[in-house]
Amino acid sequence: MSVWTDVVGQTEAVDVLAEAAHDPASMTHAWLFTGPPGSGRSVAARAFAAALQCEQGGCGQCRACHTTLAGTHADVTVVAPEGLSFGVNDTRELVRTGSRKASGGRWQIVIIEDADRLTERAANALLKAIEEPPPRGVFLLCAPSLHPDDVPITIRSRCRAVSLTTPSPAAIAEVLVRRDGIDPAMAAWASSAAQGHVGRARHLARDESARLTRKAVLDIPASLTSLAACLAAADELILSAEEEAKSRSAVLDSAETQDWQLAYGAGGQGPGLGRGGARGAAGAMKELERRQKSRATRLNRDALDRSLVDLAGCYRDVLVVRARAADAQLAHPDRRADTARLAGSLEPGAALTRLEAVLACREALELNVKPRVALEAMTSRLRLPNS
Amino acid sequence: MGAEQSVGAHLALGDDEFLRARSSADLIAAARTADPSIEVQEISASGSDPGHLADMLGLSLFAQSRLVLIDGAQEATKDFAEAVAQAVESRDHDLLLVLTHNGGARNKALIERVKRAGATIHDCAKLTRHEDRLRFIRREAERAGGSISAAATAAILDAVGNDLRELSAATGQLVFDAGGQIDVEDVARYYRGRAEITGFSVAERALVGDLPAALEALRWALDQGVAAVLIADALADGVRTAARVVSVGRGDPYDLARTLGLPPWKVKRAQQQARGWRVTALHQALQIVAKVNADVKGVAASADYALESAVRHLISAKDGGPV
Repeated sequence: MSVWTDVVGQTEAVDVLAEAAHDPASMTHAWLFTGPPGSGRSVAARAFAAALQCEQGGCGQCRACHTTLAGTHADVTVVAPEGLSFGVNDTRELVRTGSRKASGGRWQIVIIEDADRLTERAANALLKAIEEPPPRGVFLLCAPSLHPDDVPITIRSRCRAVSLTTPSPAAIAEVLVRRDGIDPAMAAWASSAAQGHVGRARHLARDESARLTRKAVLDIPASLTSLAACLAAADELILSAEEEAKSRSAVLDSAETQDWQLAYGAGGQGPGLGRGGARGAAGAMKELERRQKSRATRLNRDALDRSLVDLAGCYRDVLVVRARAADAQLAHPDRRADTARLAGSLEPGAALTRLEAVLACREALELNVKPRVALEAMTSRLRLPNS
Repeated sequence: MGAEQSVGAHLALGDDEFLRARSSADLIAAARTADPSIEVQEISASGSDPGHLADMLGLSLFAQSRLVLIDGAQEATKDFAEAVAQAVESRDHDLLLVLTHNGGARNKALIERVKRAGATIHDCAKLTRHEDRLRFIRREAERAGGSISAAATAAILDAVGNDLRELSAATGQLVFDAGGQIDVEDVARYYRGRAEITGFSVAERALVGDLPAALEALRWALDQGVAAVLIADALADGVRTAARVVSVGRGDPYDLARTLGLPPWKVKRAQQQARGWRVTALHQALQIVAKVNADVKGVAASADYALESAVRHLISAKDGGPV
């Protein structure tokens, strides 16, 4: 059992990282983890952090390993931007943290998950720190790709890149069974349905409603026979994303709000405490609400995006079937029959334009087009021919 | 107004501040006409205590009758409200009480007591319906001693907007300028353009297929600073509603309202707007509004141009032309 066990199906990257943790000559102060969503960028970054903090280079047993993986190590700061973007002030704070002397005497590590959400000014603030790094500071950034849209080239050129690959279904299934104790049959199905996304596979395996949502999304292409069906499909996508985001943010919000109220002395009695808690409570709650709102918007978009990725997978599968590429893996192997039926009514060209429509919709959502408008335009383009 | 009306209590009740001020001014003027020697006093309910009121209600040395205006009764403290209610209930024949209240929930009990005591209520609620505003303009013209044709009424409303103060001022001025009878020509001589135009009016004209009117409305809207994003949203909303109405086919608006989850008036309007739209054209229209939605959010170099081109494309799609 070492810290690398949960880094699924990334042998090459693990070799590089383990080497760096052992040998000071191959160590550097800034790393950029890239890979498709769900390939375990942040897991790899945490494992690397643990290996750096551990005396044995990542035994997985010692205190340093445990605390780092659990996110409680004093010299490891993990930032996961929950909102839509990550601002310059937060980044400056992080840079200060990274410049501190490590209390354990090894490394002062800052992990930024979703570094693609750094705003331009935030990236520039970070750039200074990476350019002239503090002696024991290490910055681990995670981003989907090395594309300048995700990571500014200035940052990129000052980091050592570690690219992760899409883990194989077998590797995902293995980790689901071992780590999460999921039934092997379910794990095998979920890992094949998740398109190489470890977190999504676990979610599908554990959550009945996620499976239902996926099924509803995959049923959409064959249902688009009329204008009314197109509008209904767009409606359904939006509603299910909203519901999912609402139920998830409700759980997060209520606990968080209670914590904050408590921290500001709500319900407290005694001198110095007014009815509304300590001074500044109202302002702080407002700030909290603003952050929660931003997070809810992001959850909603993420849910929509997942549906769109599933949908895109459908049309990709149609192309695979039409091309008779027998050894190509299907995105949705459990829906082979439906895909074959759909392939019967879609020419390769038609499937390709539909695939493009889905991707264009994802882009439109990123440009802040109203989700309903973008989705209706998309489903209208997905309508089956001759209907 | 006769002398008997200048005795008792009046309550100007409603959320329109202009109408409240107007009614109390009218009551004071009427009271003065009826009795030139009347003593008029005003008091603001906020920050006043029963003592102030007692001072004012006390008999006057110089005049037989008194008028007391109590402004903003919703702000009254409990004690003050009680004193006011008692004053109303006392039915002093030489005293005319005028209260104003914004119609909100505060001091609602006072309103009820004043009503029970037989006070005359003057409705000062905000005018929200188109017809109410037209009626208001007609009344204003009559009040200024003139009259106005129906077309001119609508023209003033279009040109001036919904603000009652401005409507009142404009109508009064027009009566003076036109020498009593206001016609459309008189309005056109002094007012040009449209004051209140929204993205929805642009969308409505575009869906109906009236290109000149749609472009005119669009330019007016942009000129008046209606945000391009709002216009784009209105276009999208119009197309979507039309698409939904068309996709369920013909039918009674009330039945459709239930299936579509829209209010019946919206269904009716959408049915009118959807006339002449074929399904293929609607598919194209959905693409056009999605594109312009991205355009106004920074994709196009000029949001104004993007909107104008979207309007043109929508109408062209409806007519089966190239998009």
